[in-house]
Amino acid sequence: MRLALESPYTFVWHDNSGQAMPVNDLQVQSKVDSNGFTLDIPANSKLNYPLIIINSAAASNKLQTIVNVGANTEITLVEYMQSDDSGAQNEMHSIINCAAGAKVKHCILQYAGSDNGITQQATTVFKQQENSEVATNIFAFGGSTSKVDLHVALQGASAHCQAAHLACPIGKEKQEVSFNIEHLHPECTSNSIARSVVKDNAASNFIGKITVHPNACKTFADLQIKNLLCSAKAQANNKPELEIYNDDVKCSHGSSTGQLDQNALFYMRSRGIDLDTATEMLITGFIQPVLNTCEIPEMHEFVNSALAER
Amino acid sequence: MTPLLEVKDLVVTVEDKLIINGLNLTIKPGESHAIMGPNGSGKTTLSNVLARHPDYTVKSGSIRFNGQDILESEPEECAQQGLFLSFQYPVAIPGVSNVTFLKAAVNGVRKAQSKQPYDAVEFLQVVKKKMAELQIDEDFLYRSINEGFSGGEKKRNEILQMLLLEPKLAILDETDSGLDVDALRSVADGVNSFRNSERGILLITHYQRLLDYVTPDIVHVMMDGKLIFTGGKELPHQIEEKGYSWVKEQAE
Amino acid sequence: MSKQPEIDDFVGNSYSAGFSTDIESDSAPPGLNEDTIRLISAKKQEPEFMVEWRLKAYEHWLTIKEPNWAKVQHPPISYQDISYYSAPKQKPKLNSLDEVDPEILRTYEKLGIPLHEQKMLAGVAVDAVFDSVSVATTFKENLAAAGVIFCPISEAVQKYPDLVQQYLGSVVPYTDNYFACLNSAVFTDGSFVFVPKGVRCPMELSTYFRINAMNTGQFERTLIIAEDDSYVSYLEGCSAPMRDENQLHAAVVELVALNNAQIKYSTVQNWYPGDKEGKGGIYNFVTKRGQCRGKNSKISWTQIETGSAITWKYPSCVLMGDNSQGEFYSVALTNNLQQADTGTKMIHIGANTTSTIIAKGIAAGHSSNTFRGLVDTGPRARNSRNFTQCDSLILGDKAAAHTFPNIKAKNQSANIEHEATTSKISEDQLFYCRQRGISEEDAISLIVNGFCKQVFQELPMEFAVEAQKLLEVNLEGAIG
Repeated sequence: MRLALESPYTFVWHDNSGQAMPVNDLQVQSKVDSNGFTLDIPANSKLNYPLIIINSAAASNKLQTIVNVGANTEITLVEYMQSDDSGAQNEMHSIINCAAGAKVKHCILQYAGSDNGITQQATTVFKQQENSEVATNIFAFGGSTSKVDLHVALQGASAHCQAAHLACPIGKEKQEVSFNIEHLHPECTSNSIARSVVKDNAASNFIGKITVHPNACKTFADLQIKNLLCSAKAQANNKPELEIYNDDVKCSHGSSTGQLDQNALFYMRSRGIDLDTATEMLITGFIQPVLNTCEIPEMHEFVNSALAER
Repeated sequence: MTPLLEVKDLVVTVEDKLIINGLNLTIKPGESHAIMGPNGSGKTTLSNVLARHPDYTVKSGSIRFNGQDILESEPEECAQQGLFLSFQYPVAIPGVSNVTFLKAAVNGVRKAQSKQPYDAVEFLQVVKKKMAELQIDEDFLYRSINEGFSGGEKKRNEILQMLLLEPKLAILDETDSGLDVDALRSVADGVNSFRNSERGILLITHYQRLLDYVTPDIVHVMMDGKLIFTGGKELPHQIEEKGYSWVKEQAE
Repeated sequence: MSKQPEIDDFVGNSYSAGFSTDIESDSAPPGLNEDTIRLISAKKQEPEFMVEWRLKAYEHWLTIKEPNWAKVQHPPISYQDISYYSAPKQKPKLNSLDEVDPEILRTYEKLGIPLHEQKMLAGVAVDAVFDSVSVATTFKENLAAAGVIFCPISEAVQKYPDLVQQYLGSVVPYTDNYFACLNSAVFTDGSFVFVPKGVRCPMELSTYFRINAMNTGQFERTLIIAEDDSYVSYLEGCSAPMRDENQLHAAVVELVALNNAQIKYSTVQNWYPGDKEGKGGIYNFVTKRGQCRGKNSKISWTQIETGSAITWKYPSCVLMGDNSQGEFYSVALTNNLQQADTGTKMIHIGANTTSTIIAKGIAAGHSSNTFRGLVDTGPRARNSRNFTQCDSLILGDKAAAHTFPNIKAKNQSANIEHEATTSKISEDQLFYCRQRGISEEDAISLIVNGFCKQVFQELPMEFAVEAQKLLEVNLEGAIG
C-alpha cells in the first residue's frame, strides 16, 4: 500500500541494501552501510520535511537504523515496513538518540496485506536526554505475526514520552507487543496507550512494563490497555507491570477487555442503522483516541485505508 | 494587647521564585481583615505560609501568632494553638469518614489545650448541633472526607470544622469561590456566628461577594507579593468599580 | 526527608507477641527421609492410604526443584536441618480444657484467645494448634448438633477416611508446586471442616497457630468442604515468638464449595517479621486454593498480611460452576527488610462467573512489596466478569512496590477491568490533617486506614478490630 507522504529525506531499504538520498542539505547527514542507515540531524534545527525510512521486503530483510537528533531539534520520523512475499521475515531495528530538548514525532507503520505467513518485527529504542519529548505511534497491520518491541529510556530529567499502539488482527494473525519504559531521572512523564480490535481467530498479546528507578522522583507514568474482542475465538492477553523503587511518584495502569457494548449497538439499530454499520461505527469510535494521538495527518489516511481492508 | 497575628517584612520563595516580597500585617483580637488582590498576587501562598506548609521557604522576616514566633513550628502545633485555615481547594481523603476525622481533630486540639476529650456520644451531640446550624445533612458524617463533594459542600465542611475547632484566628482562603447564593449565605452566617471580641478573621478573596455578607473592619490589597494599600469596608466596592489598576495608582 | 522518623515510628510498633513458651517438646531429630514420614504417620496413627499418599508426594518432591521466579530473596533453606515433628508432652486425647497443659493455656491467653471467655461469650469454636499437634478442640458437641465436622485433620484422617480420601489433594495436588509437595509429605496438622447439605455453620470457626520449637517447620494442611446450600466462615490468625533461626511455614489450604455453597476464609497474619537487620523471621510459603465446583457457589479470601520475613502466597479461586463467584481482598504491609510477593489467581471456567480483586499494598522501610495476579477467562467462560483494583502506597523513599498482573481473555463475552496505582501519601492530604491539629503520625495512620478500608470491611468483626490495631487506628469501632 502506498504511503501518501513525500519527502526529499526518504531512505529506502530493499533486499538488505539501500541508498541514502543525496540531499545537498546541511540539515540531514546520512550514511549507509551493509546494516542500514545512520542519520545525524544537527542541533537547533527544525526539519521542513519528515524523515521517511522505507523497509520494503520481497524476501527476508533486516534493517538497522540509527538516528541522532541534536539538542533542541524538532523532527518527524516515519518508519514504514512493507512486506510483499509470503513467509518473509522482515526485521527493523531502530535506535533514536534524542539529545537535550529534542522533540521527535515518530511513527511506525507495519503493513503486509494480511495473514500470509509474513512476520514483521520492529524493535525501537528511544534514549531521551533531559527535556526531550517523544510522541510515537505504532500502527501494526503486519501479516501473520507482528512483533513490536518498544524501549524508552528516560535518561535525563523532565523528559517526556507518549507512546501509542494500534492493531486490528484478523484471521489467524498474532500480535506480540512489548513496551518497556524506564524512568531513570526525576520529573519525567510517560503516557502509553494500546488498543486492539481482535477478530476471527486472532490474538493480541501485550506486555507493558514501567520501571521507576530509585532516584527517579516526581515521576508520572500511566499505561492504558484496551481490547475489543469481536469473535468467539478472539484472544487478548495483557501484562501491564509496574516496578517502582521511589516513593515520590504517581504511577498507574489500566487494562480493560470486553466486547462491543451491546446496549450501544441496540441503540443504533433502533435508530435504523444496520448491524454491520453500527459495528463499524463503534469500532471506529474505539480506535479514534489512539489515532488522535498521532499528529502526522497522512498517517490517519494510511491507517483508515488499512482498516478498510479488514 | 498582644496581637493575634504579627507579620513583619515577610519574604517567601517557592522553588527559588519570589512570591511574597516584604509583607507586613497585624491582626488584633476582635478584628476582621480582608486581603484582596488579582490572581497571582501571592494570596494563597500567604495563607499556606501562615499555616506553616512545609513546601514554602521563609527567606526572611517574622511571623508571630499570639506573641509566639511560629517560624519553626509544625502545622499541627499552630492548629492546636488556635490557628485555622479554610482551604481554597479542600483535598479528598478516601476511606476516612468525616466523623472519624472531625473527632480526631477536635480531640487533638482539646488535648493540647488541656481540655477533656469528647467521648463518642458527646462528640456526636456537639457535631450534629453545628451541622444543623450550617444546614448540613447527617449522612455527611459517614461519607469520606470531601470525596464526591460539590464545591459548596466542601466549603461548608471547612466552616463546620472551623466552628468545631474554635480557633483564635481563622484564615479563610477564597471561601466564596464556587458557591451559589444559598451556600454563600449559610457559610457567611457560620462565619459571622464565629466572630467575637477575642477572635480574629482573615478573609482572602479576589471578589467582594463574600464581603457583602461578612463585613471586614480593615481591607488590604495585595499585589506582587506585598500589601500595597489598606482601607476600610468601602474599599471592596471601589475596587469593584475601578479595578485593581486604580488601587495601584493610589498606592504610588 | 524530615518525615522519615515519623514514618518509621508509625510502622515499627514493637512486636508485642514476641515471647516463647517453655514446654518440653517431643521432637523428631532433624532431617527428611522415608523414615521421618513413616514416623509422622505412625505418631498420627494414620490409615494405610495416608502413608502411601505421603510417600508418593515425597518421591515426587525429590525430583523437583525449588522455584525462584518470585521477587523474593533468601539464603538457601536446608531441609535436612528441620525437625518435621514436634508434640508437647501430654495425653493423646483431650476431652475438656481441664486436660490442657496450663502453660499452654496461659500462652493462648497472652496471645489474645482466652478459651474460657470465648466459650462463654463469643461462641467461637477454637481449634488451637500448638506446634505439630492439636491441643484442644472445643465446641465439638455444638457443631455436631448442627452436623458440622470441625476437627484436626489428623483426627479426620482416622474418623472420616472416606471424606479425606475423596477431597485431600483434589484442589492442590502434590504435583502442584514444590512447597505444596513437601507439605503433602510431612504435614502434621491443620483443620478439617465439613459442612453438610443445607447447613449454615452456626458460628465462625477459628484456628490459631504457633511455631515454637527451634528449627521446626510448620506444615499445616487445612481442608474445608461445603456441601450444597451450606455456608461457613473460617478465621485464621497466626502469631509466633522471636527466634534467630528462620522458620519455614509451608501450609496448604484447600477449599471446596458445591452447589450454592459459600466459604469465607479470613486471615490475619502477624508472624515474626525478622528484626531491623532482616535477621530471623518466618518464611511464609503457602498454597491456598478454592474450587467453586458447584453452580452459584462462592469463595471469598480476605487477608491482612503484616508479618513474616518473606511472604509467598496466592490464595486463588477456580470458578468451575456456572455463576460462581470468587473474591480476594488483601492488605499487605511490609516494613524494614520484609519481602512480600503475593496476590491471587482467578480462573474462570464456567459461564457467568465473576471475580473481584481488591489488593492494597503498603511498603515501608527497605521492604519490597509485590502484587502478582492472574485473571484467566477460558473459552467456556461466557459472560464472565472480573474487576481488579490494586493500589500500592509507598511510605518512605527506600521501599519498593511492584505490580505484575497477567490478564488472559479467551472468551469474547468476558469483561475484564483492571486498574492499578502506585503513589505515596499525598502532601496535600497530610497537610490538611495537620492543619486540623492532627499530628503527622496520626494523620498517616488515618490515611492508611482509609486506604485499606475496602478490605477491612470484608473481615469478620473481631478480626477487623485486630487488623486495624495492627495498623494503629481504632477509631471507627468506637463511633460505629
